[in-house]
Amino acid sequence: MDGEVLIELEHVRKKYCRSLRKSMLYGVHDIYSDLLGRPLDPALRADEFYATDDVSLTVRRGECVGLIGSNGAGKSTLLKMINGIFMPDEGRITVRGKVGALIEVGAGFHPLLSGRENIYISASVLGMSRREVDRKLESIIAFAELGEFIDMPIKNYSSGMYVRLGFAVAAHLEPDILVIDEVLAVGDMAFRSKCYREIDRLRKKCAIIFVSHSMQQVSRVCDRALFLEHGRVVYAGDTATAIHRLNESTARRVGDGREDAGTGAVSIEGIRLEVDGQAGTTVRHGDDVTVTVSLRAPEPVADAVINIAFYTTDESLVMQCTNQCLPGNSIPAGDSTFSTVIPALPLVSGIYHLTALVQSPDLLVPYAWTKKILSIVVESEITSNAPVRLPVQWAAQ
Amino acid sequence: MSQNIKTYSPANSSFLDGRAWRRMVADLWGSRELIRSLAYRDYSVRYRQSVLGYVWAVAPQVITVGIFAFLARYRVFDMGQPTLPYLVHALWSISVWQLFSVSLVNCTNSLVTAGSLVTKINFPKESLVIASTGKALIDFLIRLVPVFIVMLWTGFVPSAAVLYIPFILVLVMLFAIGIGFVLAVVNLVIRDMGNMVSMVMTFGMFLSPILYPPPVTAPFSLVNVLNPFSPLLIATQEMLAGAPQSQPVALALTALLSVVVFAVGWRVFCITMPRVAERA
Repeated sequence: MDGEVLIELEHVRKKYCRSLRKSMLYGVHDIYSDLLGRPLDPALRADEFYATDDVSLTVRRGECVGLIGSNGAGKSTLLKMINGIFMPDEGRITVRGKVGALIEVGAGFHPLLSGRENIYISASVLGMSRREVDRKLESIIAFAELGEFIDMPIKNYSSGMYVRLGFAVAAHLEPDILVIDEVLAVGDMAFRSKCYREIDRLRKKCAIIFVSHSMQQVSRVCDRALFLEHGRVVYAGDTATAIHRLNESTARRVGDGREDAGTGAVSIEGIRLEVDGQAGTTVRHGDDVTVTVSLRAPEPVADAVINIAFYTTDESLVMQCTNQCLPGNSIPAGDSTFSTVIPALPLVSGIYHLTALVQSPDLLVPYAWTKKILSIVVESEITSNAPVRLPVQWAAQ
Repeated sequence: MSQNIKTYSPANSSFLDGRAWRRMVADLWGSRELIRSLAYRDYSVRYRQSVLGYVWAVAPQVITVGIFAFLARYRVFDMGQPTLPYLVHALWSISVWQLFSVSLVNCTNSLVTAGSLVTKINFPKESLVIASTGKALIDFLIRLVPVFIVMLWTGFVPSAAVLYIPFILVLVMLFAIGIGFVLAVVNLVIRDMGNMVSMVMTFGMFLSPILYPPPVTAPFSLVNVLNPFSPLLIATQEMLAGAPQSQPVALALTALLSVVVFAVGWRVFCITMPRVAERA
């Protein structure tokens, strides 16, 4: 990339305060110092922490950088500083050109005004001149797909129409720098893919900073990514690695959501994943994975189905390894282990939670049931809309 | 695009920093279209779901003055001898007062009403404050209609000095916006400001010679000067009547005060806004 540098962050730091009262107190003190033009003491005061800690970043025209991290990692704080809503406490941010922010859709909209009137108002809030809007009005209305509804008060719009109108205005801003924060989570599929096409078009001309919790979106849109944790940059580099680092860290944290249930006829003592004899919680797409469950039963159980279910982080079930409808296993009294092999793991990159279930063949009696017994991270270069990808070869007929 | 470079670093420009002032002026000039759109938005939705519409702009003023005119006529209390016919005096003065007080109340609430716009979008926030006075300004123009009607009815002909009145009104607006700049920011953090200003304004109306002529005897005549709004109001009354200015020094000082209040309020607004945005 040899485009000109549009965004430059140099050792940026921002302090936040945990206690509301102290935050107000410090605020008064800081404003007082600002008014007198005195420099502030950069040291942390009681109850303060760095929401953004020593972040440096350079983004050139034509680049799209993702900011990823769990809630509270400092992504929004960083975006707001780049957008100039508030100033860093230390360091320097330089932005060159017009900044467009897709942080709040429908900035300045008034519910009683019509879509057309709101276009003008929102556009002027975002920094477009009236003449510019006059020129782009038709294109904005077309992009929002509002047709004859454009002269209806927007309080009667559906939420989808509202978002489409808001995005349509923002998309016509022709910014040099575009800051996108999680707005694409709304709207229907067709409109979302239209937004992506628009971003693809814009990215050639702008520097984009993209924040999202959807790793699929990030890996699709971003050339590289920053993984933030507690305001610090933990990893900066290629998107796949950044996502992997985030996944690992998330898996560690959500591993605690374990829940036990069942009749107690069997208890699940543990589960282990192995690839080539190596146990671990990180596996690769396409690996042959050996799954081993350790069970304990006070009495022998004659016929049981063992089921290991894989859930995505948004709790949807994507895959089960089960002998349901196949001959059941008899579980002896005391400790026992069972294992199976998942040939060529079809899951694409992401975090998956495993739930282990031992139940009667008619599935009516759960002998043992452990939710989130393990969280695993799957690595791959491949991302797709579906969590499961089956590599196939097509033969001409 | 390299002409549009912005650098964000810890604030360290002093109050009188010339570069900061130039940027403020440039920002304000650049946002004139935005101010107009925001004012248009606020005003155009105002009476959109109302049957009587613009009647609401004049009704409170006419009714208040009607009641006081009634009380004065039956000598419930003495209204003294205004230089203008009482109805013209009261209707005009109350309009100027409303221009000031409604502007101030709207400015104070402007940032709170804007909601997440303040913390999520970067645009010159002073335009929100200034645009919020648009409603008061247009209402003022509508309120002139009853004033004209009463002038025709009483056969009162204003003097040529009315041509100076707009200058005084500009000072009134600068004064209101200047205070409003500061209160708007404070209101983001301490929400009591909106209610407090409304209450103070109710008292303020009786502390200026609006429904009564400027008192001439001490200690009541103090309201003519201690209330910084009074000299401006009295000046407009005297311009309307074609009478000589009775307190030119107080007028000059208040004029200066208005400009200083505006400038200080504006600068304070620009310095404190980022600090408040991170806490609001």
